[in-house]
Amino acid sequence: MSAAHTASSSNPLTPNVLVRMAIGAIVGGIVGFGFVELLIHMRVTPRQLGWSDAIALWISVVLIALGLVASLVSLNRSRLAKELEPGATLPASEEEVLNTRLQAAVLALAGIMMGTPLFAQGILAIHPRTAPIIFAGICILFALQTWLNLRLWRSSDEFARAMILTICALTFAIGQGIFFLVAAAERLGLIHSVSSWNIYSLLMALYLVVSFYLSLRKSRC
Amino acid sequence: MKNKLRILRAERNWSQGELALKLGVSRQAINAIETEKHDPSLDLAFKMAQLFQLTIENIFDPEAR
Repeated sequence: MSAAHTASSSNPLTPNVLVRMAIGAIVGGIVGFGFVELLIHMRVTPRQLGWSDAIALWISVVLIALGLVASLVSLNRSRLAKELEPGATLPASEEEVLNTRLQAAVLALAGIMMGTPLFAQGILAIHPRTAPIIFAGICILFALQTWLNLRLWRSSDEFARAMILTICALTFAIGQGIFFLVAAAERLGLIHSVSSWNIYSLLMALYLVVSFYLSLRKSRC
Repeated sequence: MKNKLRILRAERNWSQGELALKLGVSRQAINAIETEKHDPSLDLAFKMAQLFQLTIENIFDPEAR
């Protein structure tokens, strides 16, 4: 193993990665701002977004975008192989294509589910009685996504499973600490009550940050 | 864990994808093991030893972490 490779693997935040992250952050910020402005203009969401709504909307857009990008990459086997292994000579296998598409579907469905309660605000303002129908739709999507998640788990190898378990464990460890402090402060009357929507938005944001961090550490970049 | 996987693979002129296929794991798993970011299970370590016709100790060095 070369010294350069060792240095690169011990410090995943190389200048190249930092530049790509900065560009991604700027483009993401502009796209996100434009998207929210568009939603507000369309009166799909309340004029004043709460902080948890803003987080949920951001997560929803990120997940749907990631799902779309992954499914687009899976259309070209050579491209997919190079994403998985730079300099790959063999095209991606059937299994790799299927796994990528499963991941894409899981991500996109998670994004759609996360965004639906917000997107539905516009419909609910006109037809308030549609809430149970919208919720039933979310339940169907949830069942479908759970089934896809199980298929993904069963088709994953030991490395992917170790990654998933580490992400879940780290998210729980950090999340339970944060939510304990919030719950204690709430019980002592120091802060206002926090809704389950607030907590879930924070938990998903934490999950994404942990996933991103661990992927960066464990990946080849 | 320090290992000779990259060297052994290079000696046989195999890509990470080819080795992954022979071992029934993903390319990412091979890369993570080669870069010491993932320690393989005992089952996978035995498969590697069998494939390269070496002992596990000849591939992995737990002392040199």
